[in-house]
Amino acid sequence: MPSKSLISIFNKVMRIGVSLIMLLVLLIGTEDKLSAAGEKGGQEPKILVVYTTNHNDANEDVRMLDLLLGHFSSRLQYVADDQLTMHDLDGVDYLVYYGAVSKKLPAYSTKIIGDYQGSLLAIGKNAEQLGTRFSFLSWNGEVGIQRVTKPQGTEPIQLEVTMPIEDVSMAQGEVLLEGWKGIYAYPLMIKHEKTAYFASASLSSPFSLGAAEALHDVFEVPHQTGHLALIRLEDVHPHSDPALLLEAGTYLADKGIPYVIALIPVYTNSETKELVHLKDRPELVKVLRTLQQRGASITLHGYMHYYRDSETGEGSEFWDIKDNTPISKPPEDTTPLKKRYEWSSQAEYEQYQVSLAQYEESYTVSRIENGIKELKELGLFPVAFEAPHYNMSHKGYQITSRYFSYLLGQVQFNQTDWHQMGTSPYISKPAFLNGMTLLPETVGYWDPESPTPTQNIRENAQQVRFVRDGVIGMFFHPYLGVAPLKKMITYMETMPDVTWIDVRKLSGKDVVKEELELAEADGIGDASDPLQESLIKQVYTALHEDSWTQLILWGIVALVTCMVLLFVLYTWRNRANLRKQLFMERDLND
Amino acid sequence: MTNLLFYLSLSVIWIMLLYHMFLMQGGYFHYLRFARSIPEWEKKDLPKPKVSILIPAHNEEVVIERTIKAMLRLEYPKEQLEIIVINDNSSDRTGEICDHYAAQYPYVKVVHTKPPNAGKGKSGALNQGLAHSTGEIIVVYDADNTPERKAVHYLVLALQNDPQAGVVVGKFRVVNAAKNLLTRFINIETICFQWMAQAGRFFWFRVTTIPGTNFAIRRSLIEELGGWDEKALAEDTELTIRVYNAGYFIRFFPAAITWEQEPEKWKVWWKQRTRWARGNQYVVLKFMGHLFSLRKKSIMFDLVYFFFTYFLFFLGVIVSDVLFVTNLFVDLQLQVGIVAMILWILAYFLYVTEVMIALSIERTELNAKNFWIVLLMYFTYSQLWIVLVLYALYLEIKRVVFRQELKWYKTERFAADKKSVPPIERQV
Repeated sequence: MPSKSLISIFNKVMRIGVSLIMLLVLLIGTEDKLSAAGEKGGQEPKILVVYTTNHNDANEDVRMLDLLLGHFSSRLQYVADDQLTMHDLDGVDYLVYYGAVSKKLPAYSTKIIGDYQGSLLAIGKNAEQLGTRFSFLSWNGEVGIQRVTKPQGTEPIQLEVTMPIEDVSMAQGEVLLEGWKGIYAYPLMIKHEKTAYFASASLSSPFSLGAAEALHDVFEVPHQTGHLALIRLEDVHPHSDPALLLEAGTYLADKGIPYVIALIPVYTNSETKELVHLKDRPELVKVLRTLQQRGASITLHGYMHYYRDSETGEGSEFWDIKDNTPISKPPEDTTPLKKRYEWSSQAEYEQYQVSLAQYEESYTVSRIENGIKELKELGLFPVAFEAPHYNMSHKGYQITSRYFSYLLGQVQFNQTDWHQMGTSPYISKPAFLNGMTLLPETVGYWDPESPTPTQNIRENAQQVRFVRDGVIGMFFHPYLGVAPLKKMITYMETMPDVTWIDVRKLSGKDVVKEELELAEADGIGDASDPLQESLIKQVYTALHEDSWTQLILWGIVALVTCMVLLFVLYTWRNRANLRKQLFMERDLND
Repeated sequence: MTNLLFYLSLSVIWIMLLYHMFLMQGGYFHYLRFARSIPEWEKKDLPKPKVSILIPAHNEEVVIERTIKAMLRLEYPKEQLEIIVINDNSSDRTGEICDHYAAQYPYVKVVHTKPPNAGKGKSGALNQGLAHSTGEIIVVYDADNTPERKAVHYLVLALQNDPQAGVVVGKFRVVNAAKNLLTRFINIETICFQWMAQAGRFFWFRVTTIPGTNFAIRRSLIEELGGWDEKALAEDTELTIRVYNAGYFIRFFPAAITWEQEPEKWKVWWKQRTRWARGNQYVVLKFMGHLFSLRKKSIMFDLVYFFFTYFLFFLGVIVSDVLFVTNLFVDLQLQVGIVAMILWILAYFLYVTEVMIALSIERTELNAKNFWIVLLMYFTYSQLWIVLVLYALYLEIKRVVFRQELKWYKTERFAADKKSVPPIERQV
């Protein structure tokens, strides 16, 4: 077909043009912001984190720290205070000590840390045990603060409740961050030469924001002061309205805003249990392909978005919410997990644990692989992953990292409780995500239930803006119609220093474009639809969309209506003529 | 995919509905015109040919006497009339009653068939009767028929004055219409069948189906055709096609009226209709193979119509029903639109008005009671047809697979009571 080749030539020209422009934009605008998230591992500093927690495990506090540090380096190593050896310090550029709880540290650990000559950051408790490096500080117990500012007098972070921090007085050094109790300021982040201190054991939000901002100065990575933004069209599944999705996507594409479509390949009707696959919805696939062609980044948002009975889009798929455990058995299996005391020996119990983990492995692998496969078969190339409900076990993250380099949204911190989750305010590549880069969701979504949906987003965004290169990450449900989306975007446009993240181009090249070209070369995708399928599609389109079908149907309606009226007339006439009609039953009158 | 199915079934259904609308229009025209030629023909006053009336009867003791009496009252010169009752292997008093009348009236004859030539069904009986007949024109009545006095006169009149017509078919009415709901349904159905299908097709295409009773055929033609096909369950449909194939057409002449008894019990009705449906399916399959070698192209059209009715339309209705029911429980995402809804409602209106025209042609049928029955019939009686065709298909497939022999399911008769006496007899 001549038109076909014309289109492909046009596409090629377009592609080259678009990629050149994108490259230019990338070079000028976003390069140095994004390089912080960094692909150039060799040049990143090596950071060793020594932590003290209640049980000396890497708990949610340590994970949060991991998220914060992951912005500055992906070469992160974590060790509990009692596990620290001299060997751990080999080649370390930064040493971070994190005291989540007050504890007497082992003497050998304090010695190792005290002897370390390089840059050292202490966070929270126990810093006074770390030797003479911290002699410029003295600790006076705790103090409750209500807001956090930078000394340069930027917008403060208002705390909703009074938060306790370490009350330290400093003899020397520079205050990078201050906490305020009324009119009194207390140092929150202090730096003196190669030593820094963060005066809060808590790193959860909103302290995370303060720490995140100040860490730039600690690590002396200036980064640009501009901000990034990321928007996802959330929970698109085979039952989604293609028209609404198209409307939302087109609106963003027309504005030149790169965006993400969080796509679930299978929809399950919660009542009938009927599975609807994306391929059963050719119209939606068409819309998705079009939007992908126009630059949307498709993200795999689980395979079905649920584990146990739940409607697609509502449940968690990679965490057993009900039992609050990792996925460890088929959803229909309701037998409770066995505790240690139910086993006669530790060995048996461990064997049991292994079998549970094996189930999780095969479950996770098959869901992710099926998801990717079903999307690719339709010519859709997922470039990132977003865990349904943001919940996933660490094993889940490990498995996911085999398939994806980017994770969207938030992360679950530990293996015991799904409620423990959070996110960094900026792009981060923490150790526990096994090489994946987190593109955070920080400001929430358009909540139609809320009386002030824009206000909610605005308040959260204001906080994120406290952090240089903070990501204003949000999502939007396309089924709400395009109007609220426009409000969100209009608000975002009031910020002058925002660059939208284009997920598919984060690695420096458009991975989707490459996939599409490969697919075309392999004869997958549009060109290679089986003849029959395309025929059915054509007939279907002709029947459904073309006006002539409708015209014929309306024509029939008109004709039949006329005839019905005529028939009524005949009947009426026959009735009137009944007496005088020349009819053969006049025999009766013979 | 479901949308495609939906549109396919919608198309098939509406092709049929539009065709019937067209037929009804033709039927109305025929009603307005058919009688115009009668005075002219009667004025010609051609000599009356010899007529043989064949009445196949198999265990018809309940109705045969009334039938013979009706034959005796026919307004046709008795010297030119021959009434032949074929007592086909009856085990009841049928033969006895017939013999009684044969003894009284010289122009009444009885042919008693005995095995092996007996019990071979209606076709066999008719062939036997034909062998014993001498008339130039053969008229066939079922054993439960009470023709009006001038019925044979009109049949012969039309055949005489229309050399192109090999067969003239009259109209039949239901004598026991008021008996119960079933007979009321059947009454409405038969009236519609005659004015829509018979009159309509005759008006537009000169095509009529022989209904198995109340028709006249030229002896020369039936002999040329070699009699009735004894293998056919629906021998009338089968004969119809062969008549057209021989180059003649069949005239629908509703001036000739007979009254016949219809089943009063659902079980009987079911058996009778199964036989018809199977018979018609047999015919479609028999002739579909050499559809294009048929001499009269108009009958080819009729075969296609049958094919549509028993296969395509049937499938269309099934698919559409399945989609409808499924859609009640599962959202099939049918992109139906308002127009399909309007069409659905129009289909009902079309049906009602078509039936109303047909009823209004018959003098006594357009009344309030029938109106309500018509409204009800669409959702009840008419839908039974689906089950029926399905069952008939099943039987036909079973027959082919297991090579079963055909059996003649004789329609059970009901003793006439006062209510179900045709209007003529009330006068007597």
